Amino acid sequence: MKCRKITRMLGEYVEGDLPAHRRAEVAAHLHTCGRCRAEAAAWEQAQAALCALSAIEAAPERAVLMPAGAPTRAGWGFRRTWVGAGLAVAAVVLAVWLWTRTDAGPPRSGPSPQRIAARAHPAPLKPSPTGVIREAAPQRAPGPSPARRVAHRPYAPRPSARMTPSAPPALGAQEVPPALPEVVEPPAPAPPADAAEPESLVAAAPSPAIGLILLLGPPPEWAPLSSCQVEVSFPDRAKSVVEQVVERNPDGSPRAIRIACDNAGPEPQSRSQGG
Amino acid sequence: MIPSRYGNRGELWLSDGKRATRAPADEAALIARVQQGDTAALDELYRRHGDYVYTLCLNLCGNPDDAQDLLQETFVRAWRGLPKFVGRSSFSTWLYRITVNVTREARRRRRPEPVAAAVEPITAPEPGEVEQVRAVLARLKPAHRLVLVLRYSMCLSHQEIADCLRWSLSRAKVTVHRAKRAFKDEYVRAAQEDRTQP
Repeated sequence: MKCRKITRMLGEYVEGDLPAHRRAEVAAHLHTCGRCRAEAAAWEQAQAALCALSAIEAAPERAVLMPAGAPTRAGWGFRRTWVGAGLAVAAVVLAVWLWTRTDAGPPRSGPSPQRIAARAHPAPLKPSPTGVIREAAPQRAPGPSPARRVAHRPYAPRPSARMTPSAPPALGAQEVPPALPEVVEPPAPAPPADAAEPESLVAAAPSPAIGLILLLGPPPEWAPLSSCQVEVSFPDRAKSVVEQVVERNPDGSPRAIRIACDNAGPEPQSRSQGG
Repeated sequence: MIPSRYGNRGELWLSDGKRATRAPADEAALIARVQQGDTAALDELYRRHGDYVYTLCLNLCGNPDDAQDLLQETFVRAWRGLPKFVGRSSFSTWLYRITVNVTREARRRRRPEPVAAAVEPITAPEPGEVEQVRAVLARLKPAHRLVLVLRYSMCLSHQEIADCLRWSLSRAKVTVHRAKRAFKDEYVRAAQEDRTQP
């Protein structure tokens, strides 16, 4: 038998896994070949070293390593768990700090962002118990019902969900102040004429035209844009300001405005703007 | 010959290369008690298998501190997974499977294997010196180290290794054979390096 073939079988030979006739062949070859004998000696040493691994190490007592009771990650004292918990707490603290820093004002009493409805009209608006802006005794014009008009004609422009300071107003001739809050209009695709009215709009049915604005920040410091009289009331006595005229009547009077609100306002505010 | 394994409490754990692990007769009842939430039964299971799991972890990771962490993680997972244990394999094989998974995940979480370990000269391993054997094992590929530890430390048969790793029997045999050859080569190389060093 050649040395190459013997060498392949040496591992099994030293472990005793070879059949008897193969074992005899290998043993006979090892008597005559010094090189294979040296290789077999190396295999035997490695085998003896591996068998040293069979020594069983004593594990620490469970009472020492793990508290009594059902094992849980917390209960059995995972050291690395504390690292993760610490990181989580640090992340929460950082998030809260960033949030308060972004707000830069007194804490909000209500949920933020708020969804409010607003509509500008030359006539003063009456506070609504639901916190939705309504027009006060508007002159109803012939046409579709007010709520349906709103549903069919949401505020224009509506190019994107997020209004940025660079976005020009649709009809407003004046510039938008640079420090606008993030005002997000919820996507409100116009339903078909016979579709059911959105619930929020139906709730504001007394108004001839209602729009929805999602406010995501404090009101900016800016100058009002148009001549209109707006009265906004919120259940939490929020303060409101006129932010931008987004639609005008044919005679130039504002028909739709955006407003921003500050929940920390001391009381409902009524503003009359001249433009 | 692979040494035979006797359990902590005198139960015979054969390891002749073609053996089948013989679990203690009351182990099934013990597992059933643990599945019902009996923590005393869990203590008994820990007492029976804790040393083996710890040794397996120690031989796989080479660090006693890490081995204790792996031991904890293994028993937590075993506690959680025991309701799903249906006895298709022996409990020890199932436990070793969990241990192997835990060890693999720990290795993935850790940084890559230090290259210095392969460069760092080690003293010539002598039979019986387990730490030096572990140093040689650390030079091997993870798969080779794993099968050698399962084979020679846990005294598992090829079939049990295949069951534990969810391999085919032939794959287990081939991998064990290649691992032994790799270990022998590393072992001889380490001895030669030791001889050349002053």
